[in-house]
Amino acid sequence: LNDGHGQYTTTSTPRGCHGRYLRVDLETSNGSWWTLSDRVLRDFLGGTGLGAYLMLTEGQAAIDPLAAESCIAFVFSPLVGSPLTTSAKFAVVSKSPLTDRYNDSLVSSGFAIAGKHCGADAIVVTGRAKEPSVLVIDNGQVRLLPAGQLWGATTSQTQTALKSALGADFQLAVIGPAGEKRVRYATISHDGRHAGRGGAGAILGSKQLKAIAVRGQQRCAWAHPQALYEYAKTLSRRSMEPATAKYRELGTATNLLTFNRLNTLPTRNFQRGRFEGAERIAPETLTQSRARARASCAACTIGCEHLYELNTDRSSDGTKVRLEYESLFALGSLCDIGDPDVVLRASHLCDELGLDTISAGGTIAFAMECTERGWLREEWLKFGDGGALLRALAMIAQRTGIGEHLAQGSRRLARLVGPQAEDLAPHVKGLELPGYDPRGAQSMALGFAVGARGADHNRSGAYEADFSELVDRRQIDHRSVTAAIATENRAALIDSLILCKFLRGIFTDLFAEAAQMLNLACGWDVTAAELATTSERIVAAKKLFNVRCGWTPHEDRLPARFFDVPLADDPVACLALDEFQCAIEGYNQQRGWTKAGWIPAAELRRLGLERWAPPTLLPAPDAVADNDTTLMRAHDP
Amino acid sequence: MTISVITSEADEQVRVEFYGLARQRTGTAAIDIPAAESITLASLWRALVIRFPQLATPGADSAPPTSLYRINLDGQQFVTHPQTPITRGRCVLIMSADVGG
Repeated sequence: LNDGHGQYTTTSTPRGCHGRYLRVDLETSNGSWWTLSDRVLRDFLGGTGLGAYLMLTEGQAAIDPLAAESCIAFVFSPLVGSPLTTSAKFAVVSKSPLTDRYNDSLVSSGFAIAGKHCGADAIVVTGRAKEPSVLVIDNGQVRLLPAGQLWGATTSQTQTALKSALGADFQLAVIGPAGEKRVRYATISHDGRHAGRGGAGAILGSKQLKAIAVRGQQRCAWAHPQALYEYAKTLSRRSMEPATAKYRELGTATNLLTFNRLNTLPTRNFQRGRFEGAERIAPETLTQSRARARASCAACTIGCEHLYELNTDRSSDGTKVRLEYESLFALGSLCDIGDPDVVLRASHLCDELGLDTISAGGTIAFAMECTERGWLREEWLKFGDGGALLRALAMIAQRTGIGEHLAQGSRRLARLVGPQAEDLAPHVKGLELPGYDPRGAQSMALGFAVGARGADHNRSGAYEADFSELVDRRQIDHRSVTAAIATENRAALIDSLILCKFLRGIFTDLFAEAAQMLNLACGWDVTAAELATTSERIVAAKKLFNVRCGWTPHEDRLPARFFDVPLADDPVACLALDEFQCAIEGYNQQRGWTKAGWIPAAELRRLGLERWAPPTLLPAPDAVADNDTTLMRAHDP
Repeated sequence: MTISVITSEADEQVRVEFYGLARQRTGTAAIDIPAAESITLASLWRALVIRFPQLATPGADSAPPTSLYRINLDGQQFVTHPQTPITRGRCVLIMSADVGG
């Protein structure tokens, strides 16, 4: 074993973890094992937390994510493989080719368990294969297989072919044509679920890696196996309580009509908050005309996935499509598409091509508005035209015609179209906005702006406050700041444990219960207070990675269209730029950062992150508008 | 989905719209119910549970259970307190408690 970084004193490996990660270099087809100390695992846990640690230690901030020397990490967690419900999840972590900033995407199911059973807490892949390949990791042994015959295949075709060739006990992470073509928002697919956001699929494509196949028998021991089993039984029972009923009975897509009623359903590239065709594409309507099925990830008792029959005519072959709210809004109301056949087809096409539905829909809707305004000469690409949507998706995956530019995401497309378009491109840090209109959900708007990953509804759950009595969702204030921080910290913990966020409603004290789980699994005497600090560390580590990438405060903003003009369908929903800026400063200060968002040296020391402070990336003096005197300069060697 | 009208005098009614779980369980998109000068959220809920027993939840007789439902008035304001007054002409939205996705 190499101790790659030597920053912590290595102690015995905790239960629940292997204490090492596998680093595969595709240039040499070799794998090497690197130590993860008890201290590192306890400080960063797993999932997105450990992924952020790996990105910092691998020095990825300065590297083009599509270059051969870039790394992409598949990160498991101490709870993967345990009997705890929803714990079969892994994080895919890298620098994003879409945002050029930190990125992590979570995806569920058997790959997490099989990958961890290879004997690794994470698998880091670097280099570029000499030809299209499949990386096979069989109980920790690494080999590359040629995959030229799979190049061009869809995600499901690839999955089926490799299961047949390698054996059903291998678990697969695959890319579709979009990943091969390095579409900047290409996904990585596992059993039809996707590590969706930020373009991880493009990184695998750039490495000529069509798939990763894992299988293993190296199970971790648990610190208190009987007590863990008993706790898991209780958790499974609680997972069936009312707090998860929405996910079990309806799935996320049921948000559509609710948001439409509240005028927060993004429509026509955020020109409106209400969509006239909402009833037609809502799951409540789809259920009346189409067969529906329900599915769940491995080791999950909730079963949130609701699949709808793709075709209802005689040509139906029984194909069903997973439909989540985010896909429904992005390929539906955002593009002004009210035809359920088209929306389902578009969602299915994204799944098969390996495209993030939010970024695909967001970029196409933006292009439709550019066409409408006469800024883009693609007259066929019109709002409400289902054929145009489907055609655009195919062109993106192949990067033909306008698809070459759409494949870059809305931020890069806006730069091509012109300065006036940049105000309308629906992104933060290059990541397209999810389905919450920022004017009608202003706490969420703050979460979008400050998120390390960009506009993100999974790393900030501030919408929970917006749709409650806690805040006035159309008037951002200090309560929005508190909500944005609290939900971001909770997400950092859940995404590092890793558990499904759909469980969050059953915990009265997530941090205390997480401490209990880690104690039972790993034997750590960790407390809720320690985990609160851990969550802050993880949030700060992601931010620090971005700082090392060249982050500036200017990036923490929303597109100009959202400010000082009321939402078309709700005159009260107006986001004031000065109040929003105050909230960002409040967020930064409440985090212990400077008003502008830089992390002071003392805070880095408190969180144990000081060794990654970037002395060469100090802000320019004119960027320091407040008491930034204790910035990272303290860490100059 | 059905829209039920119990009485026809709009200015003497409270309109209730069902979303998510509430719509799933009642099979109804909206109803108009007669209301006294001013009712409370608790009395409205009791009336709804009589009309739609599927909404009944053990231990939540006097107000919608917050683990399942969120209540909004006119699309403007979320409320939870059982004694929240609901005047005639208002629209009560009953939504799923968790709006994440």
